[in-house]
Amino acid sequence: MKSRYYINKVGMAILTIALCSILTFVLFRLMPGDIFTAKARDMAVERGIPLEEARKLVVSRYNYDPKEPIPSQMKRYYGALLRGDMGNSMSNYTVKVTSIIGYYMPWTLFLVSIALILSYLLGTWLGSIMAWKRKSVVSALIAAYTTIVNAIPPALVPTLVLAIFAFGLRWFPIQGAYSSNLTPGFNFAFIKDMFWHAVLPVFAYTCTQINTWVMNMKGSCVSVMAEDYVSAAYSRGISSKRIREKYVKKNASLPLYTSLAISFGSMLGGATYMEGPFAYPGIGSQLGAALGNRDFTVCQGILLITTTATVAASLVVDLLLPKLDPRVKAED
Amino acid sequence: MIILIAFLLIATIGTKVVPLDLGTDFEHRYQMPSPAHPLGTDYVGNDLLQQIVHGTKSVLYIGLLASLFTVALGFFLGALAGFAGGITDRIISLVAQVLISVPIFPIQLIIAVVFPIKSTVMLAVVLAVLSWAQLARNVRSTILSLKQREFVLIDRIMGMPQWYIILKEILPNVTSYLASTFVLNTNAAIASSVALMMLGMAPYDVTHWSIILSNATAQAASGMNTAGIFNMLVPTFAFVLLQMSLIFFANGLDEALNPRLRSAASAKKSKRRGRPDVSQRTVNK
Amino acid sequence: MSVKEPSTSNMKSDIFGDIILKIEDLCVDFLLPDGDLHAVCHLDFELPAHKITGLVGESGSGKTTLTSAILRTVSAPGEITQGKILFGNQDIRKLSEETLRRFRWNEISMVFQAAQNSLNPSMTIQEQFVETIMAHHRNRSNKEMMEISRKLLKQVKLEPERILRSYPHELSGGMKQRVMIAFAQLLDPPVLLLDEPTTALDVITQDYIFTLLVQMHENMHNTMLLSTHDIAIVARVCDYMAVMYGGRIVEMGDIFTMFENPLHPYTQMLIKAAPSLVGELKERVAIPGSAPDLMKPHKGCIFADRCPYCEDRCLTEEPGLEVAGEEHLAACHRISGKEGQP
Repeated sequence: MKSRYYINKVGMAILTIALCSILTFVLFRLMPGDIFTAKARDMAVERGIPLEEARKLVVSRYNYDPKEPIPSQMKRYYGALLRGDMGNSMSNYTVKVTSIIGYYMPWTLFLVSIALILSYLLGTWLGSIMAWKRKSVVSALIAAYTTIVNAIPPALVPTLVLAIFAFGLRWFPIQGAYSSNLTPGFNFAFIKDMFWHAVLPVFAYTCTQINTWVMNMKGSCVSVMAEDYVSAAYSRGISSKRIREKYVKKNASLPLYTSLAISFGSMLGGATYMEGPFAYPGIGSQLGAALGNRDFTVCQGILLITTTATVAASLVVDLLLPKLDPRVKAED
Repeated sequence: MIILIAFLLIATIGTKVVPLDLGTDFEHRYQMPSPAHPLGTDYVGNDLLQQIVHGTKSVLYIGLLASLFTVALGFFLGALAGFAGGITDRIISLVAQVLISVPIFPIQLIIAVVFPIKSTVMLAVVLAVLSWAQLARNVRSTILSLKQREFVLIDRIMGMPQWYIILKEILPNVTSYLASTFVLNTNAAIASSVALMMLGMAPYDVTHWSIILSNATAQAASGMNTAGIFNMLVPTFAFVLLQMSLIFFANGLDEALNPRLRSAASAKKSKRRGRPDVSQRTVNK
Repeated sequence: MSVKEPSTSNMKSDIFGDIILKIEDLCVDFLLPDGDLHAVCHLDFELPAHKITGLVGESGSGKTTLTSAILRTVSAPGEITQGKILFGNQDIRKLSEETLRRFRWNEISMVFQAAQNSLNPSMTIQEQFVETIMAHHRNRSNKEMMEISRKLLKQVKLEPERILRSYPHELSGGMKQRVMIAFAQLLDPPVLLLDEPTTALDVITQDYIFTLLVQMHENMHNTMLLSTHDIAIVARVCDYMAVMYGGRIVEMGDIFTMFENPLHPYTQMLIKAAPSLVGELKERVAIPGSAPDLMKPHKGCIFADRCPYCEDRCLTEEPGLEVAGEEHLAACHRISGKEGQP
């Protein structure tokens, strides 16, 4: 039944997010050291109030009481969550976690989305060339290039990219999402500058993903090219070019769609080390900073949003799949 | 494969052969390769070759250890799920499903913060604790399908104990997959460990290649010194070489151990006249 | 409605009158890692125009290779290594890529074995029909193309509206096969090659499809080459029959002559082996031995090791395809001298 498929997928998605969230929740509670007591102490000193009161203040501020048993802690946290409140940042309690996420997440999404589309298009194009001209120099070159690029540990890619293109060749700006002398807005100058600053990070992301796309596409193309309907198309006098587009590429792409979500998730996970070197104001670098500051609420919030984004991406692909691939019926 | 062995050799023997001299020597900064310093020197004038050689040990150690844990954990859980079935299976599968759908690096990072990593072994454990999912899933499905196959049923009927079945029937089929996954996982583990190190979340050896690289970048950035690029390229190249050698090794392993691929490989070897594109299509009648 | 005239002049044969296709000394080899497989070996063949000719042979005889060779669509690692395929005054082997592309489907079309996978799974039937027409005639209007498609689908007794909108996986095997037949007629080709068009189908659907084919032939007077291993079908439907064995044509002739007076031992055994509603079950005789190994170069008659009449000569000299009667050719040493031929 059609709806059963959709419900199944959505249910699974929610479950995944929930489990992940619980995992991180528990993780944080296991932290050694009691930050709260330390904070309470600070506050007590600062305001000249007894420790107990200070503790109560801290608890209400962060909606968290380390002395409470875990189940009730969870109740508190999730209760607030459902109201849309992720708590406040621990390093700077005036700032709400949601606003941090709201500010930084769009930048990350901006980069990752562009990189996703770019690496997909470029990768599948190169992959189909590799399959189409199997024994040529071009094919070997593509393979060599992507393999080598892929072999670089992803954490080093941004550094390298910066070194070569920003420092070495001075082609691109070194850091930031946009030049500091421009005000954000929808004016053309700003948008152009924004994209200019995005080039290197996007390039870095693409480097990490492209090999997967190229190889998967090549493999898929090769198996499609061996199918009966391809040679049948030739015998009908369909042009080579058309066969390549409508028969090979189109059918070879079908099994690759699920990889879109995987690639998205992978890039999102890598944002932590990808954004740093570029000083790009994205969620990844925020996670790194927050962890450094032991700012749990922020970390939890970021993690939650990251997992949700990844799972949501998978869900979107799963839900759209029946429409994209005529053979997949909405049944499980 | 040869390259990998070369690396292994370097790691083990190299440390003893090439002395490690980390004294600063500002006179000879950023030198290009020369007979005295085959790979040039870094920003403090230390010989790069020495550093690379010594770093090999830590790089390989971490990667292999992490991969070992991953494979062990994955195999164990996957086999458990496959054999036990029922609730155990469902729980393990659920957890595996979650781990696969979610980006694990942030979680690894968080674990690294929560439980500060003080030793390499611990680093390996942290890496492995989240990476077993894909492997476990595959092992489980292989076991499930093998469970149905005739030769296992025969063993069951004959009343063979469980462990015997595992050893004789299941293992040979899974070995090639395990071996190649092990090697590829090393790749991934190295990548993750590099990431963790760059973020300062894991202990490191000064000679570890990523440290060489990040120090080099830091210096190059501040000094805007293009000569520093060579300093950076060397460890990068080392990584690339290592990863690629691992990949090739994995491919070779797979071909050697996988009975199905074996026949295709031998068919390729006896190809005459170098005819292009001997596809595996059946002959038209 | 009669079929459009082929764009080339008619050919004439001494034996079969008007022929539309003439194959001379054709060799198709499969270059495998262990050696070369000679799927079609020095084959000569003439296809009579406006008639249905059956090509009979067991699995491995080379029937499919032959039919795909005509359109130059032999799949890798197969290659046509020698010979001529004459259509009118053109050698199909010598056509350029572009000419070949326009030639295919326009002059000669094909219905494949196992239509299960012959259609693009991500395009509707309508899209595929339109695509083929457009690949050959750029200037047809949408309306025209739809009309042609609908008419052809009705001819094979399929409901056009439903079929055109469907994807291949939504159709049953029998429906797909009928779609392929309609598809093959799309550009009114004078020659239609059918490669075991009903092997994968049940007997009732088989019967249905052949009735359709005969009807179409009567309406359009095209030429059909029907390749099959089922001799009963040939008996029912064809005007001529050619028997293929080991990559060679061993006998060919008018259908009645073939059944009443089969000359080649293989043909005789084939007919005897076929079940008949009339004869006794124990009169059926299976053919002893197994198909020849086409990787090894063969000396003498290809059928020698299974032939009950094998003589010394048969082991050393390969018999050529010779005239053995009116509209009758056979490749056997025993017939020389029978009908007064040298």
